[in-house]
Amino acid sequence: MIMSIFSRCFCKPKVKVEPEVEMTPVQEPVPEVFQLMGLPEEVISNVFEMLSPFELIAFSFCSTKTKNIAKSMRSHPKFKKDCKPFKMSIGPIYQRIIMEFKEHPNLYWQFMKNRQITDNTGDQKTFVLDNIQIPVWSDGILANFCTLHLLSDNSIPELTKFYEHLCEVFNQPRQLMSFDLEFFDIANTIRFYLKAEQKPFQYVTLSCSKRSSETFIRWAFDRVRVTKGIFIRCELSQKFFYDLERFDVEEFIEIYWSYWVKLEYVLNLSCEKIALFKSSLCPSDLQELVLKWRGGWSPDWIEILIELQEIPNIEECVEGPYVTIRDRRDRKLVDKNSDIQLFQFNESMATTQYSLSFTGYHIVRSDGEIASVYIVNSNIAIFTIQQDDYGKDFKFELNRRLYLPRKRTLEQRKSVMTVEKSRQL
Amino acid sequence: MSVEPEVPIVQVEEVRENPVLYKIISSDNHVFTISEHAVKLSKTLWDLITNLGLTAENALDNPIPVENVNGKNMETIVQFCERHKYDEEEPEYTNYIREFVLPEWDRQLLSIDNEELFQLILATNYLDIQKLMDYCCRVIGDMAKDKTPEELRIIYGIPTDAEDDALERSASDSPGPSG
Repeated sequence: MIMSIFSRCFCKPKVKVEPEVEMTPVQEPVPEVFQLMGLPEEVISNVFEMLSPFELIAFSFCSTKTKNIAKSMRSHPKFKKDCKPFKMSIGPIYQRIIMEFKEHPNLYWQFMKNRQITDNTGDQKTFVLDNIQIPVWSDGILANFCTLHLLSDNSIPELTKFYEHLCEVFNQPRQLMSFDLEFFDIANTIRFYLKAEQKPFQYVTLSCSKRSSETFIRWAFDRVRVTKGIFIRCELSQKFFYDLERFDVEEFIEIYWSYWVKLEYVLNLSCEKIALFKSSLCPSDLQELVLKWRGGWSPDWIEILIELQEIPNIEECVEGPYVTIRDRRDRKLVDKNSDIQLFQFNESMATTQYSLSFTGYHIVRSDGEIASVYIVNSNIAIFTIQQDDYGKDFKFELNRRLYLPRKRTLEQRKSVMTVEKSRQL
Repeated sequence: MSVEPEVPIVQVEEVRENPVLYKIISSDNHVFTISEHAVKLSKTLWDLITNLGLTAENALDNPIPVENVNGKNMETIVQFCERHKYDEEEPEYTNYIREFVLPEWDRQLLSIDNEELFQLILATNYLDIQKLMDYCCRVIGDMAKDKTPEELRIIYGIPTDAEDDALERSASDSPGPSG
């Protein structure tokens, strides 16, 4: 079905007919044809290897045969492993599909549908995709983005077919979707992806501003189909509530404005990792979490990251005698049979782009389980259950956000000064 | 096999470093002389030379017939191989799409009409000359720059699905050799 849709897309440009005016027929020069499809398939593949992603996509739309050759060429391991997940992003101003390839470092290839550009562009070549106009090939380079504008009012189902076509040609799973809940047709869009024939995405980002209705946000949260990880970037009030256990994801839940999330909301989550940025949780919550675990409770998750409201004094979160170790990763330095249950570390790492400090403890529980609690860059607390099957080293996988430049609020700056003063005393 | 040349032998530049030369006869009986370094760019020819046991002493007395390549294409191929025989070996192609600019000399060499280019590619494919194949593919790929799918369909004569289906049907409907 989809094959037939795509074989019909990008057909000839529409001709504007003005019958009142006598037109002089213009003889267009007939272009000399290069019979590409007469070449052996491996040679066609070689030609395709010379093309940019946009050129290859254009070829893939010519016929089923060209699509299959492009797909076969891209399925070679040398390309397959270097293709990054494609992201489809539905926002209020524009909708776009972003592609990234390791073979083109620092360059994003995107198809963008931007209403402002659509409205201001009347003379573009137009093509048909499933009876919906998709004018394309209006290209422009924006910073490191190589952009082709989709200039029509094609709907989300057609854009999704386009995305699926790209995923198929480049042998990519249907991985990344980003929804802005302020998109004018978001309710229908969410309903569309709820349909049985639509496979769920692996990772989804949901975002919105303070203006969005919290009732609608809960409605949307209930209907998003995602299998591995969810990013929530919604500015919600502190009174907001949502049962996070309803997100049936394997890998992670990451909430950017998480000041509405209380500690009890996350204790029973079963995904591997939880990240709460800009939370309203305090050092006492971290202390409670540590005490609960030391008391014998074990979560289903492996790691939680909390950006605390205040700068914690990590020493207050753990109690008892400790020894200091020189390498936080070295499992051999933590003796499970020792009377000492706390192993302190204080390390930092820096590159030209970022610097990170790690201050914390490995904690050995009476049943031999080990967890690590540590602070990264003043107010990011991480609590990790260290699993035995990691071999020699303890695991320290940092959330990618920690590598981004961060600004401190006035309260945080004051809190840093207070903690530093208390340490000096 | 001994073939008397009907046209003058195409002379190559004098080889200073390596005097070993080979003779190649095209499908239309044109005879070409090519140096050892140059002929090594063709995997097919070099394998043939190795298998035939040709040496510096007997090479010129044993011309190599190449029945799949005509004189015109062979002339281009010999020129190309002689031009690039001392090029450094390209690093192993592993990850990235080959983004290179075609040298001006080669662009001139390959400024031929599409039918000739098509035949040259078939010859290059047969003789297994990777560098020339890459350069030819670059020329063909460059035709696709900034083109819409419909323009590509015209430039490359790509049949639609319906045309492909019709071709397939007519091929299966036509009687086979027995019948």
